[in-house]
Amino acid sequence: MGLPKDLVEYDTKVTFPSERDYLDTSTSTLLEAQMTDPAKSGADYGIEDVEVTKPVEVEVPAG
Amino acid sequence: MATLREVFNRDVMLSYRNDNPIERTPLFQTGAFTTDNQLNGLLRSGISTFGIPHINPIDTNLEANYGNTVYTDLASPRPVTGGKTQARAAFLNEGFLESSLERHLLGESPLSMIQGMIDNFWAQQAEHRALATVFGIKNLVMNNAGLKEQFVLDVSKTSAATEASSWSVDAFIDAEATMARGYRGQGAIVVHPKIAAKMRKQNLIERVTTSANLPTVDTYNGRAVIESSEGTVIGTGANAQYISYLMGAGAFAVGTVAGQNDLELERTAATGNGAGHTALWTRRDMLIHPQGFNFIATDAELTGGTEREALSASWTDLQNKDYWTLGGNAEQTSIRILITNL
Repeated sequence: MGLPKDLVEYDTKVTFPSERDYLDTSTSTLLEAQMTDPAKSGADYGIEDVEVTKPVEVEVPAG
Repeated sequence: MATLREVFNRDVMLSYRNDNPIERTPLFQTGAFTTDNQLNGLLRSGISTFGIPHINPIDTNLEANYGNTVYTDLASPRPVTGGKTQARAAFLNEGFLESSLERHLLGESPLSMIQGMIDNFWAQQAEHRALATVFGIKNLVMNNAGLKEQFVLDVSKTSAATEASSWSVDAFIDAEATMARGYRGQGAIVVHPKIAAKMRKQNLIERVTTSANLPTVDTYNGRAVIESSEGTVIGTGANAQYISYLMGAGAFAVGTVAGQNDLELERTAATGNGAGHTALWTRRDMLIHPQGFNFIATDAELTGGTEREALSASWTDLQNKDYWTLGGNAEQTSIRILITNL
């Protein structure tokens, strides 16, 4: 066996606690009961992740 | 202090596990949520969608048959009508880093303490899923004129609330009258604490003790009163609208089983710059389903998971009115909604 070609690597994706939904029924209306505030997630309610994380960098297509 | 790895013993922890920890939370105390071994068996099999069987009440308006002495006169039995509603399981998990369990590790019997914490966590998760399911049914019936007429009695006003628009036993009786006779005067009613207080002020609360439920239960016209401030009020002040949920016994089917590989200890060696970390993972498979309704979301529509694959219904999916349909007719269900001012 020669050396591996190194053409593929794991494309992992982490679900962070701070990004999950958090119970907040305050945005409910009579017609639409809501378990969560769609604009918020765990981070807005003080849920923390492991010590060091960095924001996702999104590549903006050229042009 | 002992580390989690030193004290962790899966078998011992399993012995502390309460397989059905969901009975202590407000919605589950209603008795409207019932489970059976068949459902748990199906959940253990790993299937994600289920047909949950239900039996419709027997139509008692048909006169009973009369026997005679003629050998060749035969009677034909009546079929009992029933059906199946479509439901979906959720595969849930949560991990806790050792540091978050530190308080328990300092204690005298850490495994028991940690298992108690995990049982409580899943009990609350089941409660939240039950609430999301109730929200889904409410959103369905509130946004469909035909269903609203059958399931909802709204006497409330959004301005200038009056005596007629406030909570009263008349409104309760009218709401209960929309369900089949057999479902009246039993089950539970989930109300906001202020509505419960008003019931007491009106001297209409009975305190009942049964052999199956030794602490006294507050009962209102035969229904156990469950107080919950989640999802039971919209707005504030004199014109706040209070939502009360009438639920018959067994209105919801519930299954909850420990997932495969529940209680797993994960050790990473290189993290912490070589010091390593220990995490405890717990897993539950859950199913909470209202009898008579179908959950029709397709695999592609679900959001309980990640963008790449979502196998379970999230809270957002459960509360989505577009994902529910009424399977039979309203008379066969024992869930009703009463909306009043205070």
